[in-house]
Amino acid sequence: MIHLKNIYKRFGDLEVLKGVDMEIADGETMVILGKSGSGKSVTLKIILRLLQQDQGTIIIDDEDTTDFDEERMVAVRKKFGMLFQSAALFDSVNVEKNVAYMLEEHTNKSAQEIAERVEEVLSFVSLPGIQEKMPADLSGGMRKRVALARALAYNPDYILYDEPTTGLDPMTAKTINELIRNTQVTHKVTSIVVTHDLISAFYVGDRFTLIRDGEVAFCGTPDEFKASDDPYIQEYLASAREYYYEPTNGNNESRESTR
Amino acid sequence: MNEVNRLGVFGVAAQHMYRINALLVRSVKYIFTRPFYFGTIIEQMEVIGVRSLSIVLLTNFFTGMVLALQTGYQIARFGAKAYIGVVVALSMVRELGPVLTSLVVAGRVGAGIAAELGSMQVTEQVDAMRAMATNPIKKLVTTRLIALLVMLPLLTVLGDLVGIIGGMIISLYSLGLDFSFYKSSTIQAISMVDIFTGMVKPVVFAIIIAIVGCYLGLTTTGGTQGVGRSTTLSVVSASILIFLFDFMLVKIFFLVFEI
Repeated sequence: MIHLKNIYKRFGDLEVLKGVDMEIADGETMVILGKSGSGKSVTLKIILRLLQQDQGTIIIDDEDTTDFDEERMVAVRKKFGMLFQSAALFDSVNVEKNVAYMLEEHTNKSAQEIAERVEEVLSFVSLPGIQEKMPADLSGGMRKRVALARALAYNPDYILYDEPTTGLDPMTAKTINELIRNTQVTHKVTSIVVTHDLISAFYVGDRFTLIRDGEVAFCGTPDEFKASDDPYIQEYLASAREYYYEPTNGNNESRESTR
Repeated sequence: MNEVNRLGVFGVAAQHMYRINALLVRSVKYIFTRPFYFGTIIEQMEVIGVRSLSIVLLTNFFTGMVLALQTGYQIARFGAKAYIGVVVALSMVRELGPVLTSLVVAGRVGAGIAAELGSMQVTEQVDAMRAMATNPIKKLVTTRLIALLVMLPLLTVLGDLVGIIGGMIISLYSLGLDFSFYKSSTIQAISMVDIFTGMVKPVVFAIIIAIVGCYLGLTTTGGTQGVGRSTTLSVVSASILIFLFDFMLVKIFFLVFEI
């Protein structure tokens, strides 16, 4: 279980988070929604203490990690896998070394065992046999899938996804969404997905949290989200419907209407 | 700009000095704690030491030759041409060898460190490393510090030797000195104190190059432009600090050894 209590974070004069509370139960997938710059990714990084909150408490598995230093955070971080927005693969080493990173760092497994695990997770993300490729040789979707394989290799209890489908074409985004859902089913992990892609959110999420102006504006199930009469949520849904579900295809009529 | 307005130029400089010192203390502390990353250290020794060998040897060889030519013709007017070997050897071992080698390495390796770590920082690879329960200071800074502490003195010794050989070639073939006289005068001229002071310098300069390069790399912001800025700044800062510390070390050596 992850519990964030009253989290504040400021960058210079900009107060990004103003008392965020959030609780993620074991086994569930929490989707964090919000406009760009609303503090979604910051929240994710604060959970792993990649960013230090100004105020507030973080509890992970009943352990208060708020004041943990880097050394003590090592044990906590081993429970997590994280998929970064940019994939953040180590570009100086090949796919195999990337995926095997945590196994080589934190286990005494033999080279054979590590190679087998790498093959297993790469097959899970439908990219078998690409161990020797360098990250620069991969497409955006492949990089995200390799990053997911890397996050899964160490069998994490939690996976944090930072904008997993951003910048991908619809087909690849669908593949990533299916992988996220398969990961939930087969690996029984607790997941937090930061996204502004509502298709992805409804596909993978058990509960939604909407961050607005640095505060939690909504927390509930996808159905409750859809049924909410909050004007901001309705506007959010309407915008998403317009751009994701019912694209105008830029036909003459729609172009005329925007003139 | 905000930082400068808030703290003033000296305040910002003091803040950087404090952070650089903190990075140095932590990276030295990690030399003695597990894991030791022997593989990475060997890899860095190759990158830093072996690949710098040719440019270091060339620089010192030509410097030795120029030194012999310039001083040879000058002191010949006072009938002191026989002492050219002493001048070249002492200059190379006490001053030019350590400083020139370090400047070349600061330009080649320091820039490389800042660029590599800067790129990793702006593409979230450093965050990914932390998220995977690895201490980036230990993995990235301590390994490079150890590699430089081992390789820079070795490069300096080789640079000194090649510089003296360069001076010898000019002395024999251009100034008409005798080989055995040149050899014996050179050996007699160099004392243990000269060798010691010449070896302390590259150790201090290695720390400067490693810590300045790593600090500027790890604090890079502003995308690829920021990486370029950090790279340039690392070479400029390390070079200035090498000259500054060279002067201070020489003053200390004069006081301690009365040379």
